[in-house]
Amino acid sequence: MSEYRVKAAYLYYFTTFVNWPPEAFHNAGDEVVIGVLGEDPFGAILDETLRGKTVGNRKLVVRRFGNVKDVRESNVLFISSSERDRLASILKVLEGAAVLTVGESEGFASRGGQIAFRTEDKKVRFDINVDAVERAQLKVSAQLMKLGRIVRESERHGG
Amino acid sequence: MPDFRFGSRHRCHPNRILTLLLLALAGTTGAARSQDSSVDLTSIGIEAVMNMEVTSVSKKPETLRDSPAAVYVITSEDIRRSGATSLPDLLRLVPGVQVARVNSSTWAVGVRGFTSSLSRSLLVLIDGRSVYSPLFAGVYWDAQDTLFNDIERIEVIRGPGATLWGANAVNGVINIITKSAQATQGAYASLRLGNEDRLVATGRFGSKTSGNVAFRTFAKFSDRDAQFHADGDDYDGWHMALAGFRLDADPQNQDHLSFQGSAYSGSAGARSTITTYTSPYLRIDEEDTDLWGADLLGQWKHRLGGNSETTLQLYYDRTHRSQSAFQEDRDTFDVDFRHLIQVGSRHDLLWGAGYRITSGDTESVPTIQFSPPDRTDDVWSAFVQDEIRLVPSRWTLTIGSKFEHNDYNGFDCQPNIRLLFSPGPRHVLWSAISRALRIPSRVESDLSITALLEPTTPTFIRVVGTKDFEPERLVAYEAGYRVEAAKRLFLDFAVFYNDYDQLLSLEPGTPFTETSPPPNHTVIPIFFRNKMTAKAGGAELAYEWQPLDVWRLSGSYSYLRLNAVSAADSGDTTTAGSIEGSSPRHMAGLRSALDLPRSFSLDMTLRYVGSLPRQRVEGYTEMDVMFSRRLTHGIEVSLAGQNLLSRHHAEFAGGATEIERSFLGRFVRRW
Repeated sequence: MSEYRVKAAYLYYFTTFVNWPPEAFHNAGDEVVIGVLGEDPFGAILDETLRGKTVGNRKLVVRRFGNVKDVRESNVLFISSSERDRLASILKVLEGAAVLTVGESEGFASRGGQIAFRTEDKKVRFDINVDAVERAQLKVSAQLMKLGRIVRESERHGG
Repeated sequence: MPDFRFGSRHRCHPNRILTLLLLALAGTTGAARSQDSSVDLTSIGIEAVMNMEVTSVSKKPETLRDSPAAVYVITSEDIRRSGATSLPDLLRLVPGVQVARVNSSTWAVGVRGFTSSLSRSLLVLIDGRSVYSPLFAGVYWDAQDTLFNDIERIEVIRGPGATLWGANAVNGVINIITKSAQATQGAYASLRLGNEDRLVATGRFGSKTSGNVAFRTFAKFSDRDAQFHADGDDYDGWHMALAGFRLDADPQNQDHLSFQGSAYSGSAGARSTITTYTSPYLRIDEEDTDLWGADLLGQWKHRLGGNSETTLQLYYDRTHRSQSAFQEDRDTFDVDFRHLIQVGSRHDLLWGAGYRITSGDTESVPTIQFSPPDRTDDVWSAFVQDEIRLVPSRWTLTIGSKFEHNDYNGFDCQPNIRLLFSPGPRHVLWSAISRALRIPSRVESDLSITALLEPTTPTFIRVVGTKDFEPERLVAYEAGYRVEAAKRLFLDFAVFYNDYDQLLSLEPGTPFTETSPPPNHTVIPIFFRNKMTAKAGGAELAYEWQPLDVWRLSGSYSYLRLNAVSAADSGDTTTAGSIEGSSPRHMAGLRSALDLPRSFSLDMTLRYVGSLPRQRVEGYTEMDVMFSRRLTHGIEVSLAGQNLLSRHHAEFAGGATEIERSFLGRFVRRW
């Protein structure tokens, strides 16, 4: 199974386990925006995986961001490894926004990102930074907490 | 698991279907189709996804790892980190591929030998559209371009790909695959300024409608300087303008539509020696070659349930090429259908059919004649291929054949059989036997070209095509081994033995006197025949090593032995030596990609190409360096130097043009 097919599926499941605050959507029918910032490792896989998918009654759509200023328009943001040097400034832009940040660079979760993929024994697993999730006013279901590895903010550095 | 499948992954045949679909298909078709896309990962629950083994933990596309063929993939990241400004220059580090720049706008590209400036046994496709010229058997690289930033990847298959792609995929197939419009949203602009690439400016804008329709439009302009000429005659400047669009839509979940087109116009400086029948019988012409063309391509992919999928592709392509000695206008229309279906749990059956009609009109000087000047040909084709999981995750057998009918030779088939064995998750062994044909081009069939031999008598040589020229035939035996030797070390090793038959030879006929046009002159005729055989053997090693997260080293080494022999009844004494002496025995390349703090990066390439005695080119080593920095999120600046080790060096046809050291600055902005 290809790594990014699995990661694309994870992004779908994350939307089903996260509750956004009501102000994250303006209208009842607003789409859930899955954003990709930086070099896109998915190619068309992400679009293929999410095509036609809904969560609740909201459609899932993929957007790629070239400018960090626009990332607050997403509900889930995949931050590519190409942005690892700029992670701190990206997270600063996102402060106070109800955006679930997902990354895969080394130390993503301990540096203030919310969910970080890691590979363990050829399987893709993830870490959750609970404090960062709470700061973004997101509610993550207990089931997702159980499946991920909890990372503490005390390990955070440089964020 | 045996994900692979040469077939499905590259189900594109003369028209690779893949492109964007490919990805979609990727799953469905090839590789792990059984697991990949026929399983909807979003419906099996997150726990199942958590326990799914991923085949490739690195960024390397799966194609490379699980194909029973010698495949190399140039990724968009490789392209971004390369200072190359032309498509052939991007191919320089692919193992087994020789790229020699002849002059500013001309390249000789060869895979596993047979390098020539028309790359006659190499099939090149851009998003499934063949750019192989049926006039001169080969690829006019001066007319092929696209936005590098929009390329998703370039797949290079060494060895025959004829079962899927059809005739002329003899020594290799190069698939240039651009990104879907969904993946190129927003605005992008880049500007390169340099001493050789004087100006290369590109712009692209992508957007999406509220429905599921995404599009992009793009334009590119390039102005390139002449290369080095010992006589100071810098005739080979090259200018091109290109614009195009692409649209991708998903009207329903089971359908994907894409529509794309482009148009280009340009001129490439050329110097030609033209023979005339009147004294002084020769003239040197320096007239720019005028190039323009346009193409439109549409593709519809439809999924019939989880295990079956169809793809229909149509394209129209028009090219115009006007050189001082001849000009050609060509229209091509192509339709291709494919159906992939999973039969039981073990068989992935792929079949398809296609039709291509191509029509070329020529005009030329009296010493170059195509007879007839205008000609329309069509090709009917069908293929079937079965990928059989003999032992799931261990043994996969792929067997199939192309069946093709062309106007030159009639009916032929091009079968292959491939076996893949995975003794463990880190190891893949494969082997293949395949047959491929290069069908005649109009040159071998219809051309008569006369050149001055001796002006006092006067005496001319006339090379004449023959209507019964046979296809050149290859039977290739290949094997390979790929291993993830350590967590960050990947090795890909391939060996091959190619047995060629009925290769083109030049057979002298009986001299005769011709009275028209006057004055009376002697003609020594030479006929295109098929009295040459050749055997080629070689090995290629590609490696990739990431000693640090921020440092990636990759490279290759290629070895080639070529032995061409004229038949006993052949009078050809030059072609064998020319085949043998135009491809290097050794090639090696090393690339280093280093990420530095503060968003700096440093990329270096070192390459060695052995000598080409028949081209009067000595072995050479050259180096490219590029230093880049991302200033803010959307801005990147780079400084690059190419061919740094010498002021100029010859790569092909020594004595004419040499390739100069070059420097350039690049500025990229994204919004």
